Amino acid sequence: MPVLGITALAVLACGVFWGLRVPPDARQADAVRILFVHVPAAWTAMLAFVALAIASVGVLVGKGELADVAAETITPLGALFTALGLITGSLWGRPMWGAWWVWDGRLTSFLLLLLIYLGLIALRGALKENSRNRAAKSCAVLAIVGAIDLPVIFFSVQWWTTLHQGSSILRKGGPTMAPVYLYPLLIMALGYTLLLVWLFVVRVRTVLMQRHLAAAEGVL
Amino acid sequence: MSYNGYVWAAYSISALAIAVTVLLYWRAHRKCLRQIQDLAIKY
Repeated sequence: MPVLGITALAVLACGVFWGLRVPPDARQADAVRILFVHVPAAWTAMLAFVALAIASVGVLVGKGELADVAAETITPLGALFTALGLITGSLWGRPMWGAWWVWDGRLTSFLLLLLIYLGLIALRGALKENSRNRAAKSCAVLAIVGAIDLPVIFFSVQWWTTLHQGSSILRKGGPTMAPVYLYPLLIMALGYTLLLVWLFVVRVRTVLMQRHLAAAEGVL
Repeated sequence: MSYNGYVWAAYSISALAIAVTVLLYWRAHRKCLRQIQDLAIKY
């Protein structure tokens, strides 16, 4: 298990080193380097929600403890990466747009993702004391309904006029980004994804051990 | 703030948040492992 973590951190270190050495952009100058922490954080936040939605379906169709533990575990991780996406986006927006925040479609739908994550954490915390099963099912329903926000985030730059730039990588006809920026971005995206998977595996194992410990201490 | 200031702020906040999360998760994991080992030795 530490191998995955060390690999994730090594890939991230390579990505950061590469990202800080790319030439400045003609328009954005050095601020373009925020791309390498902002976009992977946003992608990972959405990937975490996809995993959460799948686990939630598992909870509702009765796939037992593991699906619930997976859903419980991925939620705070998703919230972390969503918050990082918003903070780094704000730090990028200030020098580029002259504003820390604008209520445009992409930013608002992404803020909604953070609120859904926080709502899930609060809902689970409020219900699990009385009934773990009820907390799991309530959170699963909210997560599945909340997954509607994912296509809204993705297509927001097409549906509405926004300050946020349109898709430049995941688009028809291939990426429009220059390879000098695209490759370190993909390395960072890989590093963030590996980090998410590693933290998820570590946390799932910890939560399962905590539950088994509590059960064992109740019996002994 | 210069452009570099925003870049360093974004990288520092990301690195700090990730480092704290990794540390907390890893410590909780090690603590659980130790508790299980203690329980196994005890019984």
